[in-house]
Amino acid sequence: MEQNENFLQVRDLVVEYTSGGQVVHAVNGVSLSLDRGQTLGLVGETGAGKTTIAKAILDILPNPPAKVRSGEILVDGQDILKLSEHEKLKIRGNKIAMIFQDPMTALNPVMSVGEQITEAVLLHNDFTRTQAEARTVEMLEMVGIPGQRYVEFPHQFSGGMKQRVVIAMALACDPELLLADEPTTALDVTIQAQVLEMINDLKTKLNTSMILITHDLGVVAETCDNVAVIYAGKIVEFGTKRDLFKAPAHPYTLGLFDSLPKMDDDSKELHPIPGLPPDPTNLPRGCSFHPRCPRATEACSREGEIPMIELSPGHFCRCIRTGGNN
Amino acid sequence: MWKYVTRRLLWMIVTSISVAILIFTVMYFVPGDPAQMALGTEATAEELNAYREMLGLNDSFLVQLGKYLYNTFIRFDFGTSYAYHTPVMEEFASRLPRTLALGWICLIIDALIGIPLGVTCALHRNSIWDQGFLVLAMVGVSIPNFWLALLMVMLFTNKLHLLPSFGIGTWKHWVMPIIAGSLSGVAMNARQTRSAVLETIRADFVTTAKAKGVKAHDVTYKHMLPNALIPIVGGIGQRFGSAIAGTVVIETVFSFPGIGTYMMNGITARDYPVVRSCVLVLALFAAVATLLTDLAYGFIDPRIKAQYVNYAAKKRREDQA
Amino acid sequence: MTEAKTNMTRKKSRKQSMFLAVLKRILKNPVSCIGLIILLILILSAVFAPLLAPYSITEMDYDSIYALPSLKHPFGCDKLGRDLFSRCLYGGRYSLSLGFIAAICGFTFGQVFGIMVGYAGGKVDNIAMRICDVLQAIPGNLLAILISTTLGSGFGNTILAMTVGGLAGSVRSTRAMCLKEREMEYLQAAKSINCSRATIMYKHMLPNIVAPAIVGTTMSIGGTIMGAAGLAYIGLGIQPPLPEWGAMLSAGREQILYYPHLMIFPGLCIAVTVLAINLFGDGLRDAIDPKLKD
Repeated sequence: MEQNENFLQVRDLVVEYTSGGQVVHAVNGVSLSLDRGQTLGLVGETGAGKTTIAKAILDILPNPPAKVRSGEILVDGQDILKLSEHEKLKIRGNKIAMIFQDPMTALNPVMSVGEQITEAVLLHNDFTRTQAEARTVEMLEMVGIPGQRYVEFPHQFSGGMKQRVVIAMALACDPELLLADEPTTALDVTIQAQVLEMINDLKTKLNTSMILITHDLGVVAETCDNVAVIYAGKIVEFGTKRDLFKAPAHPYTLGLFDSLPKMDDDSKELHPIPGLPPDPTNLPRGCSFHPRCPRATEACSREGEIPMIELSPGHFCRCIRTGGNN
Repeated sequence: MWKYVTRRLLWMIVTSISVAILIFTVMYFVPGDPAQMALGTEATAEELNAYREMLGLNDSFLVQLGKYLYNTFIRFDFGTSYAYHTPVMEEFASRLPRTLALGWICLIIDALIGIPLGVTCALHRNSIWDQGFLVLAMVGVSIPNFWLALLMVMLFTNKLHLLPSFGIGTWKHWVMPIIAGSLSGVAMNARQTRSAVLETIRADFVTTAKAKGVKAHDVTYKHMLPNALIPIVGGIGQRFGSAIAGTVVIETVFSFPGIGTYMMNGITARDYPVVRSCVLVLALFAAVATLLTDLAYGFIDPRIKAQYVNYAAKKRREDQA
Repeated sequence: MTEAKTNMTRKKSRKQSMFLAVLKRILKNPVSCIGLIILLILILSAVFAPLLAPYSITEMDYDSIYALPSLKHPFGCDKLGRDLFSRCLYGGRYSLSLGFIAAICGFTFGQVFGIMVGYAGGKVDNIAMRICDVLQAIPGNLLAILISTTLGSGFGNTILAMTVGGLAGSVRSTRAMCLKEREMEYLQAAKSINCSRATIMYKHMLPNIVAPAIVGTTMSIGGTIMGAAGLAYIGLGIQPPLPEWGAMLSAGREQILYYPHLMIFPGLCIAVTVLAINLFGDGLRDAIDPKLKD
């Protein structure tokens, strides 16, 4: 607990997929940091590279086709990507755990749910089988599933219940970092709030850090401390929740807020961001967002990296039109 | 569960009786006169008629059918061979175990070699070995088993004088029939396993297992394989019938004294009781194999086991599949 | 009128482009490409056998009885001094046409009845499935043996035997797909605008389930050819003196000790044909349904 600052640091992460001879640029130089006990929201459209970042942190990207080209992922100052496979196994599920997007497919259909949690418990603790099973039952009950359902199989659970099982599995070894990949997207709206609240409660109870991946700004508002907005595999804006909601700076972030339906607005129209996300095999030059940007100028499409500009302490934006020019 | 098995067994009896009726009807219309076959061309019309009377061949179709069903299913008597004048049951006692042994051994070899090969290919997918093996497996599927059998006879019997080409007695007699009978099955199992494993390799629950910190080896054998096995088991069950029937041709090539040669002899001699009983018995064993496969399914897949408890749901699934 | 016409041409061109896309994907895959080329060569050489064959299939050359392969007789000669190469060329006519005709019959029957049964449901479906149960209780090749025994040998009877052996399976699988499709909303939409039963079944449903059936049928041709050769081999299929590969193989078996070429070449013909069809079918499956491919 001495190292309270910057528990997780990701530096210049680049991940590429190779598919049918084409290179998909999924993550293009992402850097972010996270303190202990804090929650970081990763926001962006489908295909922006959010899940890839999370899987890269666990180093469970399917290789091939995915490959981490460069970058560092430091957890407690240790670069995960440089560890041996054996050391990585000790971190996965133990120090860092992940909650997956689709509870319907995330569980092994031919293994009882209890067995799947016990497997994780046994891997990372010096427990006997009985102790591990007791721990599993405890975890199940913590997420609101009666312990006697230990022996049941995934098909006997509803979607919401399955997601609880996935959460129990992720939390079973008291992880220090939780990667929650759209944990509520596949669920009914009524259950979404419940699950979110539960994750939040458990997280505070265990003082876990969390990266919450979502495309739902409402979820961000409820749970996150910091927010990173991702577009085409790059962070385009980073700041505290307050910064982002009060003073969104990047045109893409503004677009995201504009596309939400507003209660106090009389106009009956929504304002979606025009155009489509760019083809990740062939990203636009300069700022990836410029083809869809209402404020784009010629300078935006010029070759070269757009730098991150610090607008206020801790609030960064990757846009040449914000800051001084705007 | 037991209720399910009982219902399946009952249904199997109904199917067997229907199969028996079907076979009888088909055989009834087979051209050729068994009496003529048995007595030769010099027999007089009276002799032939007497012989037919003795076999009951002069009765009407329905009477013959009724007698046949009564004897087969109530008295468990498969009748007496027209040609050899021995009870079919007696022949079965020595021949059936051989054919079943041949069929089972082939099937077990199919699984024991084919499945690990398929898994290995899938784990090293798109490597040169994998691609090469895929083509090789396709060649294995495409070689007619009787041709393979003859090629082996040419090599191992005629050139190397290692293995006998016909008959039965020592283990050496079994080598070539087993290889001829299992090659295509091995290749098919390997191909099917490969694609089944590939389908699970990208499944989300495999990622979940990896994220838990499960070792790569355990991810493969504890999480991927049990799921990949579900379609593979189905494939093996489906092939059992054709594996058993496939022994007919292989037995003919090697003059292997099993059900297949018995049946082929019966066909040439218009020996109806023999042919009928052989087909019926082979069909019956295929049905038992299907039942065993379905039970194995339930053993591997809890979703299906749950359906066995609810038989109606299971029946629906089966019809859909 | 003109509108309908442009609509028609549009539909046609869409179908054409789909066909072209599939063909392109097949040609991209070297393995299936090889299969297709071999298959085309085999088909062409069977069709043009009279032009290509150096000898007639009945021409007996008493000087070259049991002749080994040579420049004069590439595959050698049989016990009557007939040229084996010419006979193998003609043999392709039987095997290939038999395989394709049986496949088309099985496909048509399976589609028509499978959809009917699947769409009708209820009692019809139940009875049809029980009939299939009984037919499938007898392994396909055993059923084929039984039918050839009853009907006698010959080209037509072999086709019938091979088709009937696989019928129950193809009806059942079409029906299963049909049941899945029946739940889809587009069919209910078709129903809601008062389409007739036949229109729904054959205009809306058929195109959606036909692709996997085409793949399955193609993959089955190889097995059918092999099964038919097997029938001929055990003396129940096409009979000598017709130059069918299985029958030639069976005849060559007698002289396996001294003249193995008599059984090697006909067997090779069967294996290569079946292999070519399987390779092509494999590529076709990948091309029609790319997601099945890794």
